[in-house]
Amino acid sequence: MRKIVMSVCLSLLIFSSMVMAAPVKLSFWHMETMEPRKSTLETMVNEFNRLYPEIEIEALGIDPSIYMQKIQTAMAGAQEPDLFMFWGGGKLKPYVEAGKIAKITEDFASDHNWKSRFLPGVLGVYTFDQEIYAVPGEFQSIVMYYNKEIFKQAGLTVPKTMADLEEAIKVLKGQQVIPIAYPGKESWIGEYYYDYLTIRLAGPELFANIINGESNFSQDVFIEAGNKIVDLINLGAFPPGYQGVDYMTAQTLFVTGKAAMYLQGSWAIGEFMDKERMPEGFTQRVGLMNFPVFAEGKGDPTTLIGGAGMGYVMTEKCSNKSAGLKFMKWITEKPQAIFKSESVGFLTGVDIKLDPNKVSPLLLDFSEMVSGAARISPYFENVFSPAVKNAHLNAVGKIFAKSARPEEAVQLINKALAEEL
Amino acid sequence: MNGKILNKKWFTLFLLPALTLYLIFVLLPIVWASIYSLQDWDGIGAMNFICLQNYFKLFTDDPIFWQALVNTLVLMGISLVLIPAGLIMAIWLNTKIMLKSFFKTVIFLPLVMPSVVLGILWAQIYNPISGLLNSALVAFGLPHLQRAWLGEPETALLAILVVVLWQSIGFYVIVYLAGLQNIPEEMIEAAKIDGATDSVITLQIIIPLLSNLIKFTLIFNIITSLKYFDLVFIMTRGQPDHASEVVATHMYNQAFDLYNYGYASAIAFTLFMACVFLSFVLNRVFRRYEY
Repeated sequence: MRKIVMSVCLSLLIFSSMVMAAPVKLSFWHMETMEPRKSTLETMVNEFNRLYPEIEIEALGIDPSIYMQKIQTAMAGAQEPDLFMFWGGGKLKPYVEAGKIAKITEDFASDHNWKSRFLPGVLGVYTFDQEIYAVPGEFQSIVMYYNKEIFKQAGLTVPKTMADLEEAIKVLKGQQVIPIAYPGKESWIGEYYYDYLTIRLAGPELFANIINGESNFSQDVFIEAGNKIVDLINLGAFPPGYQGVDYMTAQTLFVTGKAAMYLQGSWAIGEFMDKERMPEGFTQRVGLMNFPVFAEGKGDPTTLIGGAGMGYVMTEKCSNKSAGLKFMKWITEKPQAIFKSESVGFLTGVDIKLDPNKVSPLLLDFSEMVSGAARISPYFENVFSPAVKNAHLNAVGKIFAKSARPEEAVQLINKALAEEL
Repeated sequence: MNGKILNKKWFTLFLLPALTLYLIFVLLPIVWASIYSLQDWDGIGAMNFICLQNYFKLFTDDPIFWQALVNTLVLMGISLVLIPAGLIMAIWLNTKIMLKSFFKTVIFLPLVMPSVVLGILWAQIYNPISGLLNSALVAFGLPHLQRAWLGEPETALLAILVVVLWQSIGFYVIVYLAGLQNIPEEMIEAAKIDGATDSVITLQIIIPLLSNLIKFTLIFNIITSLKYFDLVFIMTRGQPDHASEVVATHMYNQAFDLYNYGYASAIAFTLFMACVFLSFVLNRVFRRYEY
């Protein structure tokens, strides 16, 4: 009898301690499936789980090519995770409007330590109707990389104006070097050329005026920017068969010294850290430059296109919001931000001081470029809706494929814009 | 026992599990898609009933859809080649030839490889800078024929089509080979004794005996071409400038890139109706040629 009582007591004890220790499980989806980003995120999540045994973050990495689809279907079927990483702006907006995303405005405003960590303005893309819905996990811009060695051999200096750039293209062509490694198969990169050209011509207020309904895409600057792309194509600025060149091929052309310039997101700094793929001493040969200005343009040479990219988002469905918030706060703390910058070569939107001995020299250059920028002009997709953004993608695609004249192509964007209003 | 199996009650009972699955996973989603197609819906928020406006937009105000439809029809038309080509190869493989199993393997291999692998592989072959095709053209002294195969509107669809044909031929050959092996040797021998030539045997014995299979493959071919998606999505995503867009990739873009779930459902339902209609018509036509 005593044995039975004892064992019942014991099993009750074990059972109750199990109940007490059972951590809050939170699902967390991300698309960091490539190294070094994969192991960096895993390390951070494991560290969090170790520090906070009462919470267990169950991270699930989803391949980038199906990430959007997975989130979309999960949201439609009310199967969304507790936490996930997502872009801000036009991509996040439909979910916010559908009431799927948890507001963090109050917690954010009341926690000074959390709020003061971030660089000014980075939360803009996660803010809708004055409510904040996410915190940044990365801060990226589109920058022009160039090969210092090729420039030196060709006797070129960094082009400041469009005329300089065109001159440099001619010289480089003469030396059998591809001037700019443009992956034309990825039309979304073509959009960055087009956007830089338009904001260099008209200044960054341009998009704001369109959003306010004061203007549209039929302005001369949009046609002029399109014509400039055609000029660059005709000058031979891009690789032969550029329309069939994909992301990796263009990057290979640049890193192996077959191409002199490369317009790409700052995420390429992280990709350049991959020692297995990069030639010896490659990072020393690369420099960053501002996108050239037009002599008659209104844009500032230091203005960058960029902003916070993927951020940490909590869903309204999250089973334990205070645990979710704890994770969002912890992962954006300075030590974690520094760890991320050092291991993946990203800026994180958190105000940190980078250790020159520990980060890629390119990241330091980029960080300086960002602090020296007159303005950070948001990505097109963060200003306009998916439909207008898609029309923009199609229009730029047509200009690069030379299947429509710029004046016809911009009408596509106008049409999509008119349907919105 | 025989009587019991043929009994209609037993029939339904045994069919029930499969029927339930079919209802839940095939019929219900189609009904849902038809409902979604009448809504203005982003896939997440509230639905807004707009009657037939999605269909109206699809047929009158969506040039990309028409482009995609033309491309799909081109794909369908050209892939019809697979039927005679598959038949010829199967007949050839069924004769006594050297290296038979080698040729069989070569023809079947692409069929067992995942489309994703093939897509990435061929995208590399077509790569304008480091690709095999352009390098081969240079090696053969034809550098002026080099192109950005997947990047130019004139060649993108065609370049994908070649891969589609190469990938799917194996399936047709397998089906026809199986059919050929069911034709009794004696029948062919008897015909030979009666003095029939090879062409007479092929045209008047083999093809009529395979007619059911040919019908099946024809319907299969048309339906798969209509809803074709994978290699286009992997190799070009319908680019450049929608030159290689097919109806299914257009539908995908609408649903997952543009959050137009209702509109994408309208495309899906139109595609479904087209498939139903075509299989109905084809079945009707074939009924006349029943052997």
